[in-house]
Amino acid sequence: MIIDSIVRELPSLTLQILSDQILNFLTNLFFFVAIYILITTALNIQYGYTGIPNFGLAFGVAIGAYATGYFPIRILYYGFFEEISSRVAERCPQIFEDPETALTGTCNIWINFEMTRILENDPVLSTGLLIFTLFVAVAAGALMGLLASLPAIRLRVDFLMMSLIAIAEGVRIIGMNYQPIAGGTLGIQIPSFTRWMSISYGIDAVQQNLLLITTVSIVAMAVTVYMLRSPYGRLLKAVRESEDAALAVGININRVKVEAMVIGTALAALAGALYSLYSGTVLPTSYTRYDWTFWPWLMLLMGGRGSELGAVLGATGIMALRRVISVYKHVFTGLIPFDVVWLERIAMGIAFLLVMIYRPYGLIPEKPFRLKEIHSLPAVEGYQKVRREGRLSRILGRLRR
Amino acid sequence: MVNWAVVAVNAFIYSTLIAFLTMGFNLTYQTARIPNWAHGTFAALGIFVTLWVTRIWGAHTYLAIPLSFIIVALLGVAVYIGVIYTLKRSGAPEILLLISTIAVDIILIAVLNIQADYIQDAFKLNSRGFLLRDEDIEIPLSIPGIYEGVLPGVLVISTGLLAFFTAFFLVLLYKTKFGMAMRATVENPDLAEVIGVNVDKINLFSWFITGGMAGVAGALLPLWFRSYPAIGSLIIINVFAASILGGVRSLLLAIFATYLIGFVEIIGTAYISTIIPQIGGVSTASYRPLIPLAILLIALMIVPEGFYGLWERFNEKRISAKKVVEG
Repeated sequence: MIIDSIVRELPSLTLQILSDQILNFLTNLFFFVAIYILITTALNIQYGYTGIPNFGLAFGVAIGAYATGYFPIRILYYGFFEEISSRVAERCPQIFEDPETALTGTCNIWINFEMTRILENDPVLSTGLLIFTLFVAVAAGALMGLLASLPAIRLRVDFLMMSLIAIAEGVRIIGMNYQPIAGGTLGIQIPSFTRWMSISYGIDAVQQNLLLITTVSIVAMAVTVYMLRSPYGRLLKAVRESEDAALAVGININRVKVEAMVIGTALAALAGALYSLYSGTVLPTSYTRYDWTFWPWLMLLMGGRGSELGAVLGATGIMALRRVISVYKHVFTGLIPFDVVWLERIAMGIAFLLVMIYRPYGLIPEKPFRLKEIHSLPAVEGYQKVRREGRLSRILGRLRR
Repeated sequence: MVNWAVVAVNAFIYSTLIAFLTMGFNLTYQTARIPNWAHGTFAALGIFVTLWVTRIWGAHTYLAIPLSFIIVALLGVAVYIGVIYTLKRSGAPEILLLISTIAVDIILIAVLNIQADYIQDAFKLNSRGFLLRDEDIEIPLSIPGIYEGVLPGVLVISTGLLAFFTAFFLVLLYKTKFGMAMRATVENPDLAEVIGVNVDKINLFSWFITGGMAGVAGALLPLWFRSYPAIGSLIIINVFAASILGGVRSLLLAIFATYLIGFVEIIGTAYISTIIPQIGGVSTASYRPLIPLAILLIALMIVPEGFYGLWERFNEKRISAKKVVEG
């Protein structure tokens, strides 16, 4: 019966999507892929390169979003307070008594409307605030990474993981309840910083987001990949491979780990800021550990830890699959007596286990590091030849047996 | 006004139930070297065993305790064989074993939610946020001049069972040969294997018994507290905190830490609520989970080895001082 109705529904659904939603779907997918590539790369710096099992990745994303929902809006609000308050005074008389509660509470939507109006006529202010927002998000993420690494960075891996989970849980509880940060469970709206483009140049909202997210994520990825391919990336890997050996050659391992936490969390915070700029809201209840910790982990493990291409492909593949499923989700509702989201979770858990059992190094494993000058030395070549032959003879021996 | 006696009873029952989990968590942590992230959700399975037994089958409430023990113990064994053992055999590093318990937790929570949806659909029962206090028995108690009235059954049963399990473990670990093998596994699994200890058997046993204990705690939880499928993720933070504060290597000190954290959490929340009723637009009680989280982080910063480590250090000093005096 289930298969029957799927078969019946599929062609009409496909047509519908093809006709009017395919562009929408693809741009949507593009945004999510870009944001998740940043987050997965952030995790790759922390876990793939340095070996820090950051199961609190979501707090980086949340901090970036909270910074976006806090600082630029406050600057705009108090900078143009007279103009905004005179316009919304009719609908929101309480704005004069308690401007802070008015901003995060019920008046949020009206104040946001007025802010958008101010921003769309002022390209210089908009662009300035946009750059400021991204900067503040990265700075807040870096600070949070530093704070999060204080309690346990020098301890064993399992303690470190527990402390990071605890911090993520704490950030979530505070963000969800404490309304001055981002409106509590109701969230807070963010005015569009790119709307002036549609007034002066006729670029529509989707194109604006496309432009913004592409530019920022390409710059961020270029910087990150450059950093990871430099000797600094090898420093991180040295700490991951053997802490004792790294210590023996004079590396300050705790400092390297803290740096990896700071850089990774800053990158995750940038992704969080982009996500909230794209969606136009900061909704603290949406920074769940499933969406922003577990999925990126699965993406990284599936793609291959320690390989930049693996992280990118893992994020792209899984995100594409998830978006397709979410489009076809409503086919299932009504056929099964429970929410489809639980099936997705079960699939996620099973995918974790299968990847770990059958592909522990991911689909695109990390390439071993080679230095041309060293690997062309006769001694090294000779050693490798001996190793190759050794491996060959071992395989032959196994065949003979 | 806050009734402090009720708050204290809440704190006591809560801590007692968490203590079952802390003990089990520490035991598997020591034998299999994995902090089992899914341990809280093992208890969440027990919650639903009680719901089925009381509201759907209409049987006696306490039938849920042995039933839940068996079901969750078998689940523990299944997780050990199906996931942990398989991964260990394929040579997975410690960190992947850790992640695998998180994967197990994700799957279990989803299955519990599906089952909760089914209960809601088929029996028209509340399966998210249910409380079964009226299913519990009441034990009359009268101490002349001090207390006249009834005690909730869950208070007596949980304390009794916790005492039983603690005694069981103390006898097992320190008076039997199997316990000695177990302690050897904790000390060094490879060496234990060399001298003929079947480490897999020890692990299997510890996952069975700790799963069972989680089941008992879960079965008793809805008799006093509001329960829902994802309650495990809340409980596990208390378990982490107690395990680290008490020291992962000890059972008794971990139980002590559980009570300490439980009382600080529940009484502290009630006390702060009377002074500051609201923080940031919501009631102060919403921030309650922050207390065990804060204790966990502070413990990691100040005493990462826990009370047990302090105790050991104190003992070492005493012994060396004795040696100096004698020598």
